[in-house]
Amino acid sequence: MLSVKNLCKNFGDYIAVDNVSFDLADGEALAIIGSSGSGKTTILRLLNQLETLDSGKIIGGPCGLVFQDFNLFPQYTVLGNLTLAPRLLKKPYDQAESILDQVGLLEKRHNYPSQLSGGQRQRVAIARALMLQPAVLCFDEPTSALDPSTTGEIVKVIQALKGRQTMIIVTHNMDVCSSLADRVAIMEKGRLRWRQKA
Amino acid sequence: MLIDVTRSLFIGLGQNALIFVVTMILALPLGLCVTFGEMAKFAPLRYGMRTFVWMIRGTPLLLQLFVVLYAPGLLFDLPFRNRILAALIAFVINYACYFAEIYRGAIENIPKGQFEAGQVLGLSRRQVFTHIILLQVIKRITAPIGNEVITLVKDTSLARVIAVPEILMHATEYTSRGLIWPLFYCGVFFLAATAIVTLCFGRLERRLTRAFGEEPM
Ligand SMILES: Nc1ncnc2c1ncn2[C@@H]1O[C@H](COP(=O)(O)OP(=O)(O)OP(=O)(O)O)[C@@H](O)[C@H]1O
Ligand SMILES: [Mg+2]
Repeated sequence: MLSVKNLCKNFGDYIAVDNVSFDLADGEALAIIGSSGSGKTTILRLLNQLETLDSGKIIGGPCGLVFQDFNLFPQYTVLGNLTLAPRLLKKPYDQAESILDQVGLLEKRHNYPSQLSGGQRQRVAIARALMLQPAVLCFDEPTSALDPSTTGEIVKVIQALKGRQTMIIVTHNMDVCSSLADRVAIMEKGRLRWRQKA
Repeated sequence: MLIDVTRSLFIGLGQNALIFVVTMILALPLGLCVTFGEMAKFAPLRYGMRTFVWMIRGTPLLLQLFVVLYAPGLLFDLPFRNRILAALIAFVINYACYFAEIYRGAIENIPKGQFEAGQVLGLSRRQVFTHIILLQVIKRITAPIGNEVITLVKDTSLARVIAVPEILMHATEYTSRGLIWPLFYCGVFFLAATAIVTLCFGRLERRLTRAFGEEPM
């Protein structure tokens, strides 16, 4: 469960996130849509402490983040990407292979990111984020760097998490929205509006 | 005669090798410290370090050799007697600054997402640097550091301006006695040394390429 209260973030005198509040129940999937520059990425970055908030409160967590452009570690294999953080943090990491199996990449575990396709890289990024069992997993435009056929691949992977994993998905893709989200919010100039799902 | 000259040049080469090895061992890590200084959050340290690097890179190594040799005597009345030590200090400082600029360029060019991905996974700044950034930096710097190291091989002969008896100094002793060819013979030694350095860095680059799962060129 995640509770966000009156979140505000300015960059200089530009208001990127303007008094945003929402609650997320366990297992719920929230999609955030909205035009470019409306503050969607900034919200995810605030939830993941990549930006400091000017005011407001975030209760719950920890969050995980799947970046728009994956940000895999090029010098580690697929398996290495998954296990690096838990190893360093002295947390369990023997679940790595079963998570890779879940995203359909078990046989690529010894490959390097440079040897994978875009869709495969995105699946590794998702698997890596799942390793630390985040209470809320955030996706920043998980399909925008991919072609339409690969998009389906990723949608399937996220769909398989539905119900078990609380998620926030920022997307431009209406199909992604309708097939994955329980609720849809629209971001506009830093403010969040709700849209009833059709 | 040839044997005589060869022996003499090898004795000189020992001094070049000493400068080379000591500079490599000390300047590579010292350069990283300079980089951290240049990128420090504490502004006076950052600006102080950048100014220092600018001064070192903006003046000839030749001049710096004289400064290190004579400045202690002029400023504190403590003349430098050990010329090779003066040369080593000048070389280490000079090369640390060049290396530092290469490191800084490489670190600043690592995509921000690499730092952020580590941070989001809960790693500390230090863990992110040592386990994620460092090897990527090493991969990016091998080619430019290799170039710098080849320059270092040749620069070691500058030490003769403060009377360190390196290889060229030995050769010019023959020249003053009317024998020119030992001077050209010196070139062979430098060519051999730069060839070895080039080979080593080539191998290192190929190994790193493999470590990233990429096809070697
Ligand atoms: N570090 C920053 N410094 C200054 N301004 C920033 C910074 N990060 C974001 N912004 C500004 O905040 C606004 C919101 O950015 P954000 O990245 O959240 O938009 P977005 O909704 O994700 O857009 P897109 O759909 O294009 O990804 C933009 O106008 C952007 O220029
Ligand atoms: Mg964005």
